[in-house]
Amino acid sequence: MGNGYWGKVLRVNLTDRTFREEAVREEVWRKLLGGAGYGAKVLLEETAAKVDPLSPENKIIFGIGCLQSVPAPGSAKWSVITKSPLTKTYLDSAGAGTWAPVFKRTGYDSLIVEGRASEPLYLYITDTGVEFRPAHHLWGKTTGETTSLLKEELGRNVSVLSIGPAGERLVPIACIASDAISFAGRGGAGAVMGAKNLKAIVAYGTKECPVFDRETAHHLCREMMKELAERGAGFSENGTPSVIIPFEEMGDTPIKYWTGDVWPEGARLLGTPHYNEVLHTKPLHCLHCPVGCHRHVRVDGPPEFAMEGNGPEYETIAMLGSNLLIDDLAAVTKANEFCNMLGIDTISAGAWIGFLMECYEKGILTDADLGGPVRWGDGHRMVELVQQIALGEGVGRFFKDGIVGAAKMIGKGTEELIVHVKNLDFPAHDPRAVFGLGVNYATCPIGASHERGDPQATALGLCYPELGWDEPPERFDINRAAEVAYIVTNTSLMYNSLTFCKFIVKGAGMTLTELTDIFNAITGWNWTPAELADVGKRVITVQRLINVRDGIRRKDDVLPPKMYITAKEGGRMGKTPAAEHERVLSEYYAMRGWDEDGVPRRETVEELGLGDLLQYV
Amino acid sequence: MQVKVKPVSYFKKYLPEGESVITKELSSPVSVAELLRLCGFPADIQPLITVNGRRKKPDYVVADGDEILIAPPAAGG
Ligand code: SF4
Repeated sequence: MGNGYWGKVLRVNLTDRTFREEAVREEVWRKLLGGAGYGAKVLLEETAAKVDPLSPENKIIFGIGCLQSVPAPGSAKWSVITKSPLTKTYLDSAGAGTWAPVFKRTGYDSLIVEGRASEPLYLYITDTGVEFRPAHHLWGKTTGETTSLLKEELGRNVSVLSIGPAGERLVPIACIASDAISFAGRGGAGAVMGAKNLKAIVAYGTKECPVFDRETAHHLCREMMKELAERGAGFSENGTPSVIIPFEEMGDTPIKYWTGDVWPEGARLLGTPHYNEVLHTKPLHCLHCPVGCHRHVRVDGPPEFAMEGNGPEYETIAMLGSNLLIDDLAAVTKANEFCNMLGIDTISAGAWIGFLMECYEKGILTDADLGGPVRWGDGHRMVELVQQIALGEGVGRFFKDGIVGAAKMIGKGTEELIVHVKNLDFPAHDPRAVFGLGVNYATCPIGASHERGDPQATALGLCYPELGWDEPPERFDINRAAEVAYIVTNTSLMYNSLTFCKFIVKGAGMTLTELTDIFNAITGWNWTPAELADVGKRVITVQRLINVRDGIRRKDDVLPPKMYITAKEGGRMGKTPAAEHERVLSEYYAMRGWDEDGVPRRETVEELGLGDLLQYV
Repeated sequence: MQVKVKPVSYFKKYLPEGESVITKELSSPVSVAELLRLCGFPADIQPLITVNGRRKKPDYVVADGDEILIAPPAAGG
């Protein structure tokens, strides 16, 4: 009888153009599920400390799990795991689209890519194995062009992961596109592909992975799809732009690169319902998704911004909009398109431009440095800068080593201005508005991330009755900040290992119990929702061991200076968790079974059933 | 029959001043959608509805003693 796993992964070596299957014991899946959990284990075991992320010795893993063996809602998600060129330590990033379920059908549970190709190529993975195909004709092309060309070449049903020119040029925030509609944005995994001369990974599979009880699993999936389409109707209609206005009211949305307190008039122009009115929005679905939270939009003008295609989502609207005092949705939408097509993370792009605007305002950088003025609120200039950053040209020269590198290069006290953890720029949620985010950002293994732990969602009402949380915790309760981060990191890392789209829970209202029911029908393991969430405890420990091996300790789990400054008005007036950060950090370490320096204790690793990793402690 | 309606997050603004829960007496069972209307919630809020810890749709008909949590979709990012 099956359990939703093939029990084997595919290992591809680009240097000598070989591939082989490798068996994986069920015990590994039971501990880590797949995705970011399994990928972290591979990275820990197979790469050396401080491996150069852009060297052939770095590995890049595309992880999925058991959920892809049935048409489960939210199962289009996959994780990419590697060493980040930005943070130089552990990275995972997640995308959706169609790739995960399609790759699963080729007969593998994950893909490990190693080495470096001598010239540009793409991988074509099917039921019968791997073809190494030349990619000269794709090099230099955007993610959209690459996807279209490959689908023309290989058929509409193939699924395409690709990088754009940014990845080829090793821009450290290069992303990976999935069918050019969903993006694994953060931390520069696209540059790792570029360094390996790997332009794209195409999958097409037809095999059916054995599961424990297919009839029940399919029945549950069908029923859930119908149910979630109704529960998630509001989310489908409005998508993530629906939270722009409420998050601005709470003081959660970045304004003027984390120096502004309120901007209600901007939020009104950027969020729904205005978003839907001006952009002619339609929901855009990943495979097996009852919601379709991605946005298909149309901009009729001005001509330089006219486009039709993927629309910006919450993070992008906030980072390229309110963060820069830009309230022009047409400009934000065009910039989003450039980011997606050239292949960079919209979050870091927005952060970097915010930093430049602040430097310009303060007279630290001048017209001569920046090729002209870079003023708050200038949408046209922002669209230009996004392209320069994506191509590593113009102002892109400041950011070869990310925001920390830029501050070092520029000097003049700019270290005080930058907002990041471990060189990963803050996403569009403010720890001063949701205290759990402070310790969450500080300790997240990839740097400041809102999806490896999502306390901001608890501020909107996310709660887990199955885990003893009947109601969402109060967002300014500093005494519960560590607990909030702890619980939602466990669930998030479990989702990233399954691999599962958390918006199905947060946006469409699927419960942990309902997810566990599908999981049990697939695996036959008969777990409780709490046992499923517990996987996150193991996953973060494996990821943290990689951090620790890279020299990361308590000294690195810090909040940037701006987080110590409180708002004078608005939804987070007078509030910050930063003053109590050290205490919350100690509480969090204790919950995790890490020592006071943030290092997982030997007994913790053993208790979690990760004894085979003790050599890394 | 009596039910309790508990809005969370920014839906709290629909609560009466100083209250954290709305206790509603009903002479006959109604759907959650109707109940929210009776409690004065705007028609277009499209919440996630949890009744006694279980997710329900707006057409769920409430029963005596139900505790109804009203939350916005929490996906932002
Ligand atoms: S909720 Fe959004 S990101 Fe998640 S699977 Fe659906 S469309 Fe894709």
